Amino acid sequence: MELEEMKAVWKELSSRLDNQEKINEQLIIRMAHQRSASRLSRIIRLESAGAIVSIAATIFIITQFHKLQDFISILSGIIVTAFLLISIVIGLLIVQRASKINIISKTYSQTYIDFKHLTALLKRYKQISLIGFFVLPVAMIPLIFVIILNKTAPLDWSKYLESLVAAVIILPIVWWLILKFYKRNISKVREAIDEVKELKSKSE
Amino acid sequence: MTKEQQFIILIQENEGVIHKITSLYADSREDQKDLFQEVVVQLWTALDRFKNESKVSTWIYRIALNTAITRLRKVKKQVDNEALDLVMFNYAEPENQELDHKINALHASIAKLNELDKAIILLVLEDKSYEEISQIIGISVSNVGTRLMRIKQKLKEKMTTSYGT
Repeated sequence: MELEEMKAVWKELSSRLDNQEKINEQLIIRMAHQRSASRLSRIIRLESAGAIVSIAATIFIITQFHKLQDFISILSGIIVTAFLLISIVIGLLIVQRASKINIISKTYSQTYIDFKHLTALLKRYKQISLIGFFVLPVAMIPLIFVIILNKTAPLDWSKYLESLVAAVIILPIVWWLILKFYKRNISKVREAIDEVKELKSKSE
Repeated sequence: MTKEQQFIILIQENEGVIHKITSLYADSREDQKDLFQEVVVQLWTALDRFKNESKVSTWIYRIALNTAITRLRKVKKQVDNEALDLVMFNYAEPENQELDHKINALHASIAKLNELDKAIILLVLEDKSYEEISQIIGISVSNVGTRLMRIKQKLKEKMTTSYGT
């Protein structure tokens, strides 16, 4: 088949395609907002990874709890374990609520409700994590001394100074980066939901 | 005109082009639908950045082909659609069996080319000039000509040996 004949055959294929029923308007817009699903899956992936790490850390601390003998290390073990358990529960709830959001297959109002539930939970998580970022470094240091370094936790807090200074510098940066990640992804999902709302109100 | 209205018109007017690309770069109907959706997403995302520096069709081909080629490289498998499903087009006249056979043969032979050759021959068959093809794909005009000669040869061989056309 020469090129000219190929072109003629291809033209026939094209005209058959043109005779097909045109894609529905609503479907086009909903497809475009598939992007929001990828934003939500980033959040889901991060939280799932966080939950797995937290579960592993919790199990580790519980199995090593017998090493904690003095008041400071026992208290630090309890505080860290409590924070880990709270973050596991919230993390899994975030995964569950983010997975429920589906712009394409659900109605706008249901999507909006699901989205509101997620943002409310993220707000609560932000508050808890802010406390955690200040309390946890202090709580973890005795635990690290006893469980990982196999030493007695020093009672003299000046020995923890370097670690505390490092935590004060590094942790706010880490917290800000995580917050930025969530803010960016959630705002893209919100944009997508608002655009679908506009489309829906025009078609009704 | 709102952004959505502009976008809807753009997709509806160029739906055929996107379907042709997806049919060459994805084998199963499900994969073709997924690729169609991905192309729509990419066009929507890129719409704000489109500044009319090129023709709309050039812009659409560039994005659709880039999306398809990127996806194919990720999947890392050769498209192996032996026959185009003409029922997909809701149109298959029994008296045009010879033409159907040629359409199938051409489509299947093109589908077996590598990702870049597919893009070039698709654009040639769509009557794009060498300059446009070079803009869309990002290779030089002379390279388009050289590659096209080889592509035509490959297609002729495939169509003769596999389909007797």
